[in-house]
Amino acid sequence: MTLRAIVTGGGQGIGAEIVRGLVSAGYWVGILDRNTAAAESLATELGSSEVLPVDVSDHLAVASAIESFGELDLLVNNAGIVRFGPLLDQSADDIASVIGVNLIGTINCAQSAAQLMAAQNGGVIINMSSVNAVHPAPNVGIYAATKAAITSLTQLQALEWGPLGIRVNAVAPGFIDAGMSAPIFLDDKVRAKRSGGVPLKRLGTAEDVVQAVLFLASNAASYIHGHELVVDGGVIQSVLAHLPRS
Amino acid sequence: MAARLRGDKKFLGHDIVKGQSYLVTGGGSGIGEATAEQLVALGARVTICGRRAEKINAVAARLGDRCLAVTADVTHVKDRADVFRQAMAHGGGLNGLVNNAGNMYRAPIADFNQDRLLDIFNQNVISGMMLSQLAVPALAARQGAIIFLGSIHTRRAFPGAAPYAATKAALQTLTQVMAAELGDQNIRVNCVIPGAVKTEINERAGLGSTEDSATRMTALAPLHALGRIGQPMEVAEAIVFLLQSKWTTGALLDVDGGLGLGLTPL
Repeated sequence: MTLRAIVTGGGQGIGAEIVRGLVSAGYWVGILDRNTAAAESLATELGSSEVLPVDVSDHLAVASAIESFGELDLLVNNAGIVRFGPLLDQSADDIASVIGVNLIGTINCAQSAAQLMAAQNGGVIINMSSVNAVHPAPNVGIYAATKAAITSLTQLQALEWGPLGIRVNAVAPGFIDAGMSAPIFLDDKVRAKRSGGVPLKRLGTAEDVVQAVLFLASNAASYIHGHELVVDGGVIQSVLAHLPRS
Repeated sequence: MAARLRGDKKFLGHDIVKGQSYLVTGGGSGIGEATAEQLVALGARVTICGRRAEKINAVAARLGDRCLAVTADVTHVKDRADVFRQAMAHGGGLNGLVNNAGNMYRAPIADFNQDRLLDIFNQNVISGMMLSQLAVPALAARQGAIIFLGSIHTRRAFPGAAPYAATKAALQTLTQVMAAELGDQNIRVNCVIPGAVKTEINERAGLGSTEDSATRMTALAPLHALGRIGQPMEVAEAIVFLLQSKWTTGALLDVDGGLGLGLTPL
């Protein structure tokens, strides 16, 4: 029996690596992404996948796409954006866009997925949070608040949907040299400083995140529910406060 | 209708533990025994220790040649040195130390007994700190990992459980400080926080007979968002994940079926 997953924002960045990990673990994957070209290209490369060309912030489109996907074992709520800059400089559009994708998008997809899963005897949902949900760093705009909201949402989903047979957890990555934060680390000085601040003395890779997602998706994590798994090389509880974004 | 089976227990890197060497303290029962069993099943060499020879010998006999039992009390300096030496010899080095040995002491504040408080901190906290100290050079040579066992008692307050809860909170803080301190030696330090898992420690809590303990644990089921208590093997799986997860350190991993979320029928 083939397991079926949907990965939001699966066309690029860490999302694409999660899609690769799931396909190689034997899943059929729905790549849900508004960047249709990237998603199509990945689906063509990998096989065992299909594209759901949807913007996560569009409630009706999400509901229709997920419902038509049919049987669903796993949802990875990965789609996320960030608008770097001081809070004082964040425009109304910056704030609405980030909340729209990160928070509303997560809610939209989870709601539709949970309805399917509840009717099908359960499933697994994994929400992508961030170390910014634990301790926000300056100049990440409204991003940190949306991730903290995802922490809370994960707990509420676990409480309400656990009885429906849906296991819900979050992954909170630290400094990952991939996806949305990869551009930050193109600067050698920033790269050296950030790597040096991580107790394990390196940036994280997409694979580090994928491994955590695959673990939480699997039956090896059958008793883990409502948890936010921090995957950060130890940075958030050690020296993040000394590493302001510049 | 049978629940659809979701994912097998293989995930990226699950096979990394094959051929590696682990030391699990308190390996004679419960979560320690399940951890040893899972590591052996994945092809690792495991040394278990415990105070009761018959218990740990029976586990080792069941798990076969890759599991070595060493009768030891890890609160004793000499025993720790002996266990460590034998684990190094049995596994040809050390990739991971699972500081699982622990005991229970419950008492309301009015009944605190200083000797028993010192004893429970010695058993639950200091023995693991000192065994970790002993293992650091060997673990550094293998990019190894240390695991501590926290407790749901740090997430929800159970009246009467202060002594035990305080030792477990100490271990959770210890995890984060040691992770920050040992990172540059490439040693990862993580902690699992089990919820209600039926093991011997609940009987030792003075909660009555095996039957009483089982009844009480079953009564906790509705407080879990998943509606049930956990199995030792489910905690063992989380421990194995943390042993081989290369960039997770300082993590406190709740394995509690959502008990820590605070679901309370009102």
